[in-house]
Amino acid sequence: MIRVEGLVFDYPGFRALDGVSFSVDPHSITALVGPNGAGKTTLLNCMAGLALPAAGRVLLDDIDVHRVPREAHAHMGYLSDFFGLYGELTVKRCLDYRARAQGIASERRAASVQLAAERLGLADRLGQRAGELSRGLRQRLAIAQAIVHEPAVILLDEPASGLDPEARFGLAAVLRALRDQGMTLIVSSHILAELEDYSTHLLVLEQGRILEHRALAGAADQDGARRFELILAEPRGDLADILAAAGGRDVRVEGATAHFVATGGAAAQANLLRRLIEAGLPVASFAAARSDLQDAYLALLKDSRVRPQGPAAVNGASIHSRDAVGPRA
Amino acid sequence: MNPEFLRNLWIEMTLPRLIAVPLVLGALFLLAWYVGGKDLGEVSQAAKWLYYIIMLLWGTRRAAAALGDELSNRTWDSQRMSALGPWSMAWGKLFGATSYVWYCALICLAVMALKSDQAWQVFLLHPIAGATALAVSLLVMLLQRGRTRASSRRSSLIAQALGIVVGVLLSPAGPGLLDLGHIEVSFMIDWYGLEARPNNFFLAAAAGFLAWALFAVYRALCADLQKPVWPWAWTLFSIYVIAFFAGFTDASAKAAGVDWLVVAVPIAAVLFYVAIFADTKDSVRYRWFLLSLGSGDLARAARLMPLWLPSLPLMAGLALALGLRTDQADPARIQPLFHDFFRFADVQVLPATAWAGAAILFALRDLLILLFLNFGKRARSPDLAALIYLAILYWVIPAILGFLGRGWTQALFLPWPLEGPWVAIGAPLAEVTVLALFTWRRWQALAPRVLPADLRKAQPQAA
Repeated sequence: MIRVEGLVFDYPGFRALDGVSFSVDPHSITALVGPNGAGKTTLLNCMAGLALPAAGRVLLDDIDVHRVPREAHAHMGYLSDFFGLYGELTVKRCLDYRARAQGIASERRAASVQLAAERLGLADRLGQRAGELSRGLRQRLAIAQAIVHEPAVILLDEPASGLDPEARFGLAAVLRALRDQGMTLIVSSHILAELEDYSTHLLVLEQGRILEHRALAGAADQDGARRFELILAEPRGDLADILAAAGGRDVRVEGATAHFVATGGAAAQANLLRRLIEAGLPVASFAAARSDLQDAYLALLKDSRVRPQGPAAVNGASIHSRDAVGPRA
Repeated sequence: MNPEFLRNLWIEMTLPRLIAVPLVLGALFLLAWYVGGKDLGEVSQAAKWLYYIIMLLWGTRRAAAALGDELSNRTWDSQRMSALGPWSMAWGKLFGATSYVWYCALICLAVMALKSDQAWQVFLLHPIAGATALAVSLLVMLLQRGRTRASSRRSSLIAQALGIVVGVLLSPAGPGLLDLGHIEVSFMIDWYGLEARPNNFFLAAAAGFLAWALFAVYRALCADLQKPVWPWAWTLFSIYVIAFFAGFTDASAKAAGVDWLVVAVPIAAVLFYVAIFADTKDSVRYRWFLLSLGSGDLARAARLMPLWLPSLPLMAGLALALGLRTDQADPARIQPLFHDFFRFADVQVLPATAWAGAAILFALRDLLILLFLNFGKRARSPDLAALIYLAILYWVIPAILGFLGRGWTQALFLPWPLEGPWVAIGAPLAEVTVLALFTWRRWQALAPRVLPADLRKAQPQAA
C-alpha cells in the first residue's frame, strides 16, 4: 500500500529522520508514536509529499510521492496537527471546495460531499458555518475534507489533541469505520490508551529512527490470525486441550484465563465461541486480546535509552550506509 | 470553474459587499463632480486616483493575504494536499483573493473611461500595472515563506511595498521621462534599431513584465507544491531583463561611448543581489544540494539549486567582458561605470579588467557575508543585518577613508584599481578567502548530528 524507503530529513544541526524504512499494510490503522521531537510530524509531512526529504522515497502503490505529488494527493488525505478551516464557509461549501480541489467530477461531487458528511456525522450540519462548530465538530469536518475524495491512505497528525473525552471516543469510532470501509490510516498521537482502541499496528519512532514496527495483539495478521483472550468463570484443567481442539494455536493458560491465536472473521469467531460453550466451558468473557500499549511503549523507550551510546556522530560519519543520496563525508 | 477562484468568490463577493461598493464609490464620484465644478474630467481624474489607491494600497494587501491568511489560518497545508496544480492555484489565488478589489477597481476604470484623453495604450496600462503589482505582492510572500513566518505583519508589509513600487513604475506615471499620460508623441523609441512609438512600446514592455510576474508566481508555487521543475526560469528572466535594457544603447549612445555591456553589467549585478537576498539560505538545502550533485542525482540537485548560482557566472562573465573590452579599446571611448570617479582621480589608463575582477570578488564576498549570517545558530533577521553591514562597508568606511586620504586600504572596501591590479584583486580575494573559511566552519557546525552506530544495529527490522 504505502512504502517508505530510506527516508532522511535534516534540520539545521540535527537529523529528524534517519534512514526510515517501513511499509504499511492495506486496511490497517498504524499508530505512529514517539516522544516529542522523535520525527513523527516530519515523517508524516514527507509521506504526504509536503516536505522534500534529503534522501529516500515514499511510494503509494507505484506512485512516487515526491516525483508526482499531485497524482499521489489524489489517493491520499492528510490532516496536520494544527489544521485550519475556512470559518466563513458553510460545512457544505468547505466539503464542496475540497471535492472540487481534488478534481472530483461535477456529476459525482454532490454525492461525495454528502457521503463524507454522513461518514463524519455532519450531515445535519451542512448549512452551518465552519467557524461556528465546536472543536470536536471542526475536527470531524477537517477529517471529512481529507476523505471527501475517498483516498486509499489517510495520514492524521495528532487528530485527538484538544478534544474532550466524548469527542475522542467519537473520533475513535470514526477512524475504525474508515478502516472498515477500506481505507488505510496512519495516526500519530501521544494518547496511547486511545490509539490502542483502534490501531492494528504500532510504529515507534525515536530520534528519527524506527524502534519498533509490529502488528498489535488483537489485530489480525496478514493471514487473518489474531490473538484472543478467554476468561472462564472458574479454572478448567482441560482448557488448553479444548482450545487446541477448537482450532486455537499458541495457547497459553493462566488460571481461568487463556490467550490463544485463531483465524477467521466475525463468523468464525462466533462459531469458535459456540464450540467452546458446547464443550461445557463456563465462558465469562471472549474477546480479541489487548496489549497494554503504554507499558510496551515505555519499556521500549527505556530499553533503547539504557543501551550504551558513544559520542554523537556528525553527519556523514555513520549515516551514509543507508543514504540513497550522497557520498561518504 | 477554478476551485480556488470559486472559494475566494464565495468569501469575497457577498451580496451586501457587492451592493455597498457602487454606493460608496458613487458618492465619492458625486462629491468629485461637485467639488470639480461639475466637470466630468475631474470625476475621471478622481476615478484614476481612486483606482490606484484601491489597487496599490488595498489590492497589494489582499494579494499578500492570499497566502498570508492561509498560513495564519493554517489552511495552507490542506491546500497543498489538493490536486490543484500550481497554475490553477496561482491565478485562483491572485484573482480570487483580489476579486472584490478588482470589482471596485473596474468601476473606477469604467468611470475613468467616461471622459479620458488618454490613448488606448495608456489606458490599458492601468490594469496591467495593477495586475503586476498584485502578482509581485503575492510573489514576494511566496519567496518569504521558506525563510520567515510569511504570515507575519512584516512579511506582508514588505510584499505590499514592493508591489506598490512595481505598480507605480508600470503605471503611466511611472516612466516620468515619457509622461505618457499627456505626451504629444513627437519622438520614437529606438530599441535594437526597431523604432516604436513610446505608448506602444511601453504597453508591450509592461505586458511582458506582467507575464513574467505571473510566471514567477507560478514557479514559486511549483516550489511550494513540491512540483519538480528545472531551474531555468531565473536565468531566462535575467537574460530577458538584460537584453531588454541593453536594447536602448542606440547609435547615438554608442557614439557617446555607451556600450551595451555598460548597461548589462549593473543590471546583472542587481539581479545577482536580488537572487542572493530573495533566495532561502538554508544550510540543510546547501548540504543536500552538494550531496545530490556528488551522487549524480541531477533532478534533486535542480530542485535544491540556489537561485544565485546562475546569476553569479552571468554577472562575472559580463563584467569581465566589459573590463577586457575597455582595456583593449580606447578607454576614453567607453564610459566606465564610475566615469566621474576615475576622472576625479585623474587616471589616464583605466585598468578596467582589474576593476571588473575586483567587482566580481566583492560580489562573492557579499554573498559569503549573507551566508555566514544566515548559517548562524541564532540568526535573527540575517538578511537585514547583512544589508546594514554592506551599507557600512560600501559607504561609511570608504567615506571615512576618503577623509583620511586614499591609499591601498580603499581596495578592501571598493573595487579600487588605482594601486595596481595586484592590490585591487588581492584585497577582496583575501576577504573572500577569510570569509569562505568562516562560513565553511559555521556551515559544518550545522551539520546534522546523528545517533551512534550501535543504536542503528539495535533497531529491529521494520515490518
